[in-house]
Amino acid sequence: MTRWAMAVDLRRCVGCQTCTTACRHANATPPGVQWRQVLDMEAGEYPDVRRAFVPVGCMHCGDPPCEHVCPTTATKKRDDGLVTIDYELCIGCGYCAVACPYQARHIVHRATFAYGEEPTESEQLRHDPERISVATKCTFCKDRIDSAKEEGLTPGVDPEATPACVNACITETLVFGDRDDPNSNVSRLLAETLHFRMHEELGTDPGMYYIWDRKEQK
Amino acid sequence: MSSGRTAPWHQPNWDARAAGNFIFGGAGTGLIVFSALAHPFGAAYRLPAFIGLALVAAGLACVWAEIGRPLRALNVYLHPQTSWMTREAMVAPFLFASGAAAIWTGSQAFAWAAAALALVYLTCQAQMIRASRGIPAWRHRLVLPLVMLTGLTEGASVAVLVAAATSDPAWLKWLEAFLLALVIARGFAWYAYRSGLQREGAPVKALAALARLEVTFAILGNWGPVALLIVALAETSGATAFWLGVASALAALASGWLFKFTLITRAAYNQGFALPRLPVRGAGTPGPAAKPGWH
Repeated sequence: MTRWAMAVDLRRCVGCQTCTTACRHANATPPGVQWRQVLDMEAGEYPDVRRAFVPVGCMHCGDPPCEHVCPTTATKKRDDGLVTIDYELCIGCGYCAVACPYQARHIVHRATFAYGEEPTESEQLRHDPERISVATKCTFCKDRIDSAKEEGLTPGVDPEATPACVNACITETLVFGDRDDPNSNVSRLLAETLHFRMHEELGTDPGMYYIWDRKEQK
Repeated sequence: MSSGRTAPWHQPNWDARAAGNFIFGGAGTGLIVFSALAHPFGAAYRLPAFIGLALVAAGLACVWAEIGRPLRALNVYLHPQTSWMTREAMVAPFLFASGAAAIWTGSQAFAWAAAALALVYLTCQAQMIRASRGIPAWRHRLVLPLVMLTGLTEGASVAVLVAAATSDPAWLKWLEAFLLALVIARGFAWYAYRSGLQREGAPVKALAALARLEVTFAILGNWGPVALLIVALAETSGATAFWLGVASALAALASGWLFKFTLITRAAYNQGFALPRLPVRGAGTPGPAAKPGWH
């Protein structure tokens, strides 16, 4: 089996938001909608204050609450772990959005553009009316993954078959690959590091792993 | 503590229209149940049952007004395997059919069928809220009895008001007794739910939104009617009992609607983001957990 997953090395992220920008460029998301965003989290009290930059988005859960509640089957979990949305089936009820504990889903009810009411030439070319009033979210750039097999490419290794955010990351914070393959770059990285998954206690089996330290130190 | 949206913020997707589904659907189904219960003893069925169905329809109209693609609304029937929204939608036509048949024919069998389906519909609504794992105030297991008891209490309240308005006082005392039992049960369910949320953790702002209901919902809307109903049931003067019953029903109904409006549009803070550990930076050591905005 294949389970596409992402490792996020929190030790490396500098919060540059290049992944956010790359995602917006690759997926033509409207202003205010970020399928990949980077949180700036602080904890502690002066003088012992810590800060972490945390990339978040759809976790492509193994047990996705959004899929359970979706009344239309627009949201599906594929055998390879990707959670997808069929824009033609979605009725925009928002139930998936309130079921998602990662705030990963977005619904916009009117087209908005970066510079006023009129779209730029690029926005006009890439505007997809099917995405209005339906749920949208990170797809792990599934088109790239789906074309990988035909083209003999490996997602997470070959840039053409790898999510845009991973390709763009300047610090190699984001690593993508097959969690079920012990030799994949993701599996090898996770084997040698300490990591957690966000809100794991909710039983969602998320597909994003956050690395916080080396294993040898513990 | 943290910059950006890391602490829970209020969900932006379900607004007053979604709340309307739970408000009208709960009251309508509760009323259909009590109409069937009171009918064998001679109480009027047609008018309260009709009002009940109209309320459920109003709730569904609210949902239809909420969804982004209303012309695709029939797609809602595609996922009965796991979606409580689909199940609610599937029960609705049978509820309307049996309710209409009971009103049209006066058949008690249809009235019981409508009552049973109304209970199933109410259960679907409560489960729908509970299945929303992204909203801590909704996913708590005790939201289920609370939402169901709230719907039944509203139904009993409207039944009392209809009986009072239609000069059908023969059953007023019985309905008041039912209402008394329900508001007491609703009051206990409210405290169990709130203390459960506090014990198990929830966003601070969600707890604050619910705490603001203590006076309007719990005291004025719940324990106030309990006191009034006890007096009404003990009262031998018909007029006094009548007006106390009406006042209690109005308070229980309004407070139930206020609760659901608050639950959906004021207390629905999402999960936010949390880190069980902060990462090692450079040659340093890992930091403690960060879970901003939580109790």
